[in-house]
Amino acid sequence: MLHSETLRAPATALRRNRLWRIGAFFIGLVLFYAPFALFVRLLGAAFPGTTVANSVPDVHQVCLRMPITWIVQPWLWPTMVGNPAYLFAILVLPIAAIIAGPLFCGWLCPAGGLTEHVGRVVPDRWKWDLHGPVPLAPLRYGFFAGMLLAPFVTSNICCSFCNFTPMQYFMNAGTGDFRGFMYWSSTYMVTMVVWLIPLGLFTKGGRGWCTLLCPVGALSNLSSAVTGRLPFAVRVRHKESGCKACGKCEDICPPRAVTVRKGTEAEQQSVVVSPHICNACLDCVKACPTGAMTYGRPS
Amino acid sequence: MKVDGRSAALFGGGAGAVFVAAAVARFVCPAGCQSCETCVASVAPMGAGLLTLGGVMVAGRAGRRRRADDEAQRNGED
Repeated sequence: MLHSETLRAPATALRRNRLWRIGAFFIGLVLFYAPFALFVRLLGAAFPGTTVANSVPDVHQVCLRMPITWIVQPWLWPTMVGNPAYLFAILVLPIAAIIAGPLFCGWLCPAGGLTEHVGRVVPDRWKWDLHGPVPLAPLRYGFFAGMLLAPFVTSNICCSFCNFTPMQYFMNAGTGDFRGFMYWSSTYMVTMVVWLIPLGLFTKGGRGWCTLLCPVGALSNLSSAVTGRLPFAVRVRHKESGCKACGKCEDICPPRAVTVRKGTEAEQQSVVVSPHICNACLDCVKACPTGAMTYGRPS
Repeated sequence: MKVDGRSAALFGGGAGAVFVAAAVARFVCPAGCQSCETCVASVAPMGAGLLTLGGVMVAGRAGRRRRADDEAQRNGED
């Protein structure tokens, strides 16, 4: 096989994977966001009489943030148990992450997908790279801990810095309903600007907000990381054999989870996939020219 | 990148403090209007935290580049 052919095959696989993920992005929109909000409607039909059944179906009825902050507030657990949509955030997503990694983040989440997929039209030279200068995992869990602690100081701030709401406003505007923008608060404006511009379109990979400030991603990755060695845990993994430390995986990783150390000798080379940052998008698995990146159980 | 415990605590604590500061700002705000969601002041801690983060990243990158240049210069001299 010609050398160019060995390189072309992963490029095609990567392109195909990204197309699948763009498809999943649209499925996420249809499932969670008005005017469709199919998931909300299904939950409402399955659990008549609950809050989710009696509300306007949009992304707020499957709030993924408030229930996460309620985990540390036991007096709010009855509210959580009384609404099946809230249990989705604190049970279904972490359990899915324990089994197969944080697939929701890498595939279904429309807010994260928007900045990643649209961000590809922005040239890389205009973007900043989160990878390298600062440790991402401590920052991510630090913001997460701050969000969990805030209610004990004064009030819950997860709504103030929610990027799902601006996304819903965009969807509403697409159907001719601009009322969301009329009641837009300063916190939503800051959130929208930070999410879309410095931590979105102008961050390499387009996943700056997801990697640093999203509590849903932090909880999913925490669940995924602490259970990564369980025998049934399917994760993105790297195997030393065959790896040439070419750096392709590091370069294309959207959340900047892969670190490659290059060297002239095999002993000097290393590739590390951070389980605290990886969102299981599988781009690195498809882009790897030697098959050293895999998605599977621990060997 | 490999992170030692001290750096992790420093960065993690700093990041957590941004959100806690956002909550505290509401508590100590002298206006008392309870319109935090529409108040520019209530987002100041987050803005300040993110600006700090940006500064740290730019400084980190500049430091890394300087170290690489120094190392290259040393290797050249050797």
